[in-house]
Amino acid sequence: MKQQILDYLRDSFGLEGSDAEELYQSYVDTLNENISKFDSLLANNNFAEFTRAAHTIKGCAMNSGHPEMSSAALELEKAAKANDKALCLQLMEPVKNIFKQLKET
Amino acid sequence: MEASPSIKILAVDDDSFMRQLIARCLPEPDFIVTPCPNAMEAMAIFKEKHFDLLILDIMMPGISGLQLRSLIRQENSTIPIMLLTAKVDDAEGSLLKEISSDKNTYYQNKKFTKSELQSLVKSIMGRVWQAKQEKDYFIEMENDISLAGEIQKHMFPHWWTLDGGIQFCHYFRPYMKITGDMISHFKLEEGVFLEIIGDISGHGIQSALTMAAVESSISNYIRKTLLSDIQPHHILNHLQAFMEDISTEKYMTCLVAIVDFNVNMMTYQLAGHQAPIIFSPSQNKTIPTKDFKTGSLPVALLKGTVYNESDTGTIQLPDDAIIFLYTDGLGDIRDDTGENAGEDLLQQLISSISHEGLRPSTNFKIVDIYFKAGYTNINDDITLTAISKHTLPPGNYDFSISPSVDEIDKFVQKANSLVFEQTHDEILAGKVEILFSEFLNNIAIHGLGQRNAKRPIISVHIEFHEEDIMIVVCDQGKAWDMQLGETSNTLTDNFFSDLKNRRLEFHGRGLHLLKSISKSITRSRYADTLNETIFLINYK
Repeated sequence: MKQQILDYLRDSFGLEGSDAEELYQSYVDTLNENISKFDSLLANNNFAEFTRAAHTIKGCAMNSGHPEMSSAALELEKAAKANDKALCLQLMEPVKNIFKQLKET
Repeated sequence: MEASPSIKILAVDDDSFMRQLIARCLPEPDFIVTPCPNAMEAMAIFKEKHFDLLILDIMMPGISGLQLRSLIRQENSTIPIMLLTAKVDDAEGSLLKEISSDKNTYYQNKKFTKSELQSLVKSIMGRVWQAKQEKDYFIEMENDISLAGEIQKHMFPHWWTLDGGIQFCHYFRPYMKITGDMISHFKLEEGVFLEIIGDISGHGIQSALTMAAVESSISNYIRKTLLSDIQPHHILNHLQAFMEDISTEKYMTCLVAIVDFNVNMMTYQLAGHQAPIIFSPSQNKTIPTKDFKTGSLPVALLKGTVYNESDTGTIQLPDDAIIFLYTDGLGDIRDDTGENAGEDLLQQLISSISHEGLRPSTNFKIVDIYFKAGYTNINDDITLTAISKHTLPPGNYDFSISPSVDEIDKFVQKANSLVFEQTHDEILAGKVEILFSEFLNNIAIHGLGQRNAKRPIISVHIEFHEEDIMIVVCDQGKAWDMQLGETSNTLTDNFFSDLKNRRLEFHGRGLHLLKSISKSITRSRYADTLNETIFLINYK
């Protein structure tokens, strides 16, 4: 998965070596920062901020060549916009899982 | 070859990944990206530094990208803004509408490649630079035209001149800063003048340049031609050949007239131009238009046109004739309903305004009435020139003065001598001297802006009546309000108090003087160009 992303960064943005690694790390940090907010935001029914977090993940994933993550984040964003807490709880899991897989690569 | 300048970009996105991505997609030296995490910081940076382009994320916590755009627009209405969003792909119509509500806003999908982002930035900046170049070129053109208009003024006869017992009054107003109308006076011999008025087709620079070339050509022709050979049809044939030579595709309506004031005769030919209006104040009538020969085609309208002596007319002039030459610009002025002023109005105004003879202000008063009657939509260059013998009844004197300190000083002394000669009143002569010194220097300094032009541009008329002296001063300086109020025969206590307290230090002091000397002061402005100030001064 990491290599897929690095390949994408090279092909789309001409980034190689340490530049690509830096941006990859920045992507991982962004995912981490936003995913870590999910539980507390949902517990407080803060759907506006939840939507923003999902939206941010979606955008970064799109620009990192990570379609699995961007698709999952898109579905989560829609659920948050609909203020559907149950659906959010359900759709949060795929996002977390994909992130976990990414960290393990 | 000079390198293109770096494009300075302010990139605002709350996501550090996106800020980094944008910066890497837009590297130096072509681009200089200043990343910024939120709207508040962005505004602070924007106010301090110059940027060529802004890239804003729409969805940010706190102040959104669209709200930030509104704030930016309060500071700068034209800087290009690129909005980054994935939201448009969700087909939100209202967002699209909001993005496109500002004509200098561009949209970029948040999923982009390096080449896509660079291409869009360069495309936007290309358009911006081209628009700036066009604007700069337009400004430069406007400045050049304004300068050309100023220079052109010096090619025309002065608004009032005296030449050996003949006076010329000239009013012109270009439609587009520079005029394609032409007027030339040449003194052929004592009392004999060649008058040429022309209206070159079209407007703007081309017509003005053609006008200048035609003027120059006429001057050369006059210089090289024997006096006896200077006849209207010869001049028109010369102009026809000249305009065919320069091939501008312009044509010119023209009136060429030789006015011999010694025998009160005018010899003329019309080439598609209006006949002059010749008015006699003593008879209170104009010579009917039907009495003039029609003439021929405009110059250079048809290649190969020949002007013949048979089309030359002759008119006997009344001794007090005022000859008005004009172009059709006056008749073409429209009111708010779109109605043209027409030619008859000019005849009527000439009759009513010129009944006391030709004065420096006559043409300006005529044009002023057009404006006051609601004919204010000007569509063409306007030229109105008038010529007559300069004869004044006894006790009347005319002077033309250059607005320089020396010339004013000389005139002031002359005026003192004249008043003393007429009235034998030393004090009165002194008062008139003070009045002229104060007023004319004010015109030179404030009204005309301390110009040192040698061409006389202040006219003074002095008229001695039984009980008072009337002084009429005309100038083409700025309009300024004299705040006349009541005049007084003595300087009031307020004057001295104000003088002592330095309240009159920069302005107002002279006005008190003028008011203390004059029985009355009236001030008018005609055609938004000519100031006329009339002083009445009691003998005692």
